[in-house]
Amino acid sequence: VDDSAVEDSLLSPEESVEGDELDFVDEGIEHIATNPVDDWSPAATFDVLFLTSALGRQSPPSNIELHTFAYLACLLSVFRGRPASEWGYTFSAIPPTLPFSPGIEAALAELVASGLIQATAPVLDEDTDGVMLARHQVVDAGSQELAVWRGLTTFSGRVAYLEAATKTAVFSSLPGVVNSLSNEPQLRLAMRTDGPRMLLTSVTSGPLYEQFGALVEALGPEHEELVVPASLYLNFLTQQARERLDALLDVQEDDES
Amino acid sequence: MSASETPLVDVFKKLSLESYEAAVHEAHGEAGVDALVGLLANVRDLLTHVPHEMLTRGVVVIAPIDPTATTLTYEDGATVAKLSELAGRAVDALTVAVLGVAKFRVWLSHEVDVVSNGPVLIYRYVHQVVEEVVIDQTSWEINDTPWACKMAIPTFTEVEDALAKYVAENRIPVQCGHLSRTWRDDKRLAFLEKPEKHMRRSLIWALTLSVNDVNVRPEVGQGETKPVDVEITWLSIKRSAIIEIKWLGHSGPKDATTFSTSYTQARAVAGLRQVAEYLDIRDATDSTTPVMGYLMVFDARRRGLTATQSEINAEDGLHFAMSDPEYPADLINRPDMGRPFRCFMEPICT
Repeated sequence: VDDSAVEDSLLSPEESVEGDELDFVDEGIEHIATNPVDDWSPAATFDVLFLTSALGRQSPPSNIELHTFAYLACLLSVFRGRPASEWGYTFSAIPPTLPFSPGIEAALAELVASGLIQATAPVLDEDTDGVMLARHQVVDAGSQELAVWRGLTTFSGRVAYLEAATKTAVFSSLPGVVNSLSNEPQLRLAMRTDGPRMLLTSVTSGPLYEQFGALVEALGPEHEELVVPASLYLNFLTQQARERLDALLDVQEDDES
Repeated sequence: MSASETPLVDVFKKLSLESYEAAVHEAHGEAGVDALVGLLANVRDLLTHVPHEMLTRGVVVIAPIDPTATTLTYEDGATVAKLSELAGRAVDALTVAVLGVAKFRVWLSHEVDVVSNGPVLIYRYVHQVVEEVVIDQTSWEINDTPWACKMAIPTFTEVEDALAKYVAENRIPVQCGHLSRTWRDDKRLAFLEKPEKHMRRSLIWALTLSVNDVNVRPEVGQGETKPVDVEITWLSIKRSAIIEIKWLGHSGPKDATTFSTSYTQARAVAGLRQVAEYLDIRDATDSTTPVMGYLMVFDARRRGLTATQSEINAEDGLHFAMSDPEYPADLINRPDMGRPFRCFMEPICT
């Protein structure tokens, strides 16, 4: 499967093929992002630079974490009533990577190639379970570039969503946020069915909208900031996962006794 | 009515009432949320330089909600520009007042009288005692994790490193609420019946927070075999790890005169064999996904323990502390078998 076929499958959900026909999925995302220039998006480039800088204060992020926090920021813009189609780039679930944005992957490759972000090479330990992804840090030139870009009207409207997304990590951990968000209805469905699917489409977003509607009602429509709703939503997803775990353990315990 | 049957709005309202993030917003608005995020970011930075395990008398970090309008009054102390300047000190007590960006006042004591003329947020951690945020004199316990310090949760790129840290932290198992529910008595002599599900919750939650770039879930089982306890799926590549949990020692109802179940090291060996059998089944059903297998043993063996015993001396209580089960070479040497882990959980000895 060549890269154009991958792109087609991401952008045309109605024409998506089933997972067993997409053998590139077996290789993992690093193999499908070898020629990602066609996916370049200015919004994704800004987001990757912003997220890498902000998350780096807590822990230099991997590309997996950049996809997740970009998706969380996008969800927060949806929470504020902004259509996902205005976010600037798309997200898909391509198991095992949940979520995955070709725009984010392309932007990261571009920023590393241009020297604004430094990728720390992974050290593989084949003797154990070593699967180590590169971690990323913004260098001084990248910070200067970011300071200029965040003042541009093109990008300034995104900052509140990106900031709120990254601030949720301070209450938990980067892996904690990644695991919590994997319980978002669309990502959870993709994990269970183990097939690629477009995220945030009009067809798939119903359960998400229902949850966001309840969150708005609980906090009150006058609630002005985004960190508390973002944190509460992640807590909600975590609580749901724990309840499912408890139910599963009870069933398995009954089966054993 | 279970939480899943509760209207979503009520679920979120309850979560909001239990949330210190929402509480600080309720009291101080967006400025309060910003101050809280700033406080916790400074705490995280501090705890990368000062090991939380040393803070047995405790650390206090004080941050004004509005540093430009609030003055802190104090005596003595030293001013530092970066919290990294505190690295390398062996301190069991510390107070840090956040005076502004890159300006901190520091004391090597946890009992410093810092007076404020405006609202402040306070973080306090005493190792194995408390981790809290204080908002307007109300304390919010913030650590609901199996790790000792929520603001210093270790993160790992390898599962083995995370398991080793989990074992080290739970040698004295006081932090994890799940593990606390396993005990039959307050001296940690024996387990209640069926302690395994609490251990499973604890391990899943701990790994969820600390292993990078993976998804951690209970394994739901395929086919006729009993499912393993934990499955870890890498998000970057088709690869998995499974963890089987076993416990050793005695279990039974409170106040019973005999134990209902007792397991020796043979149980651990059977657990490792179970992992090997499961790896064989997985390889036969999905040979494209490499799977590593692990055994985690929660060990509460006590020498000569009886069900009516209420105390134990150190000689008997710690007799098995350094006593690993002997595993068959054909299992332990498999290329897809990770090293087995044993978490010896110390009793409170007389």
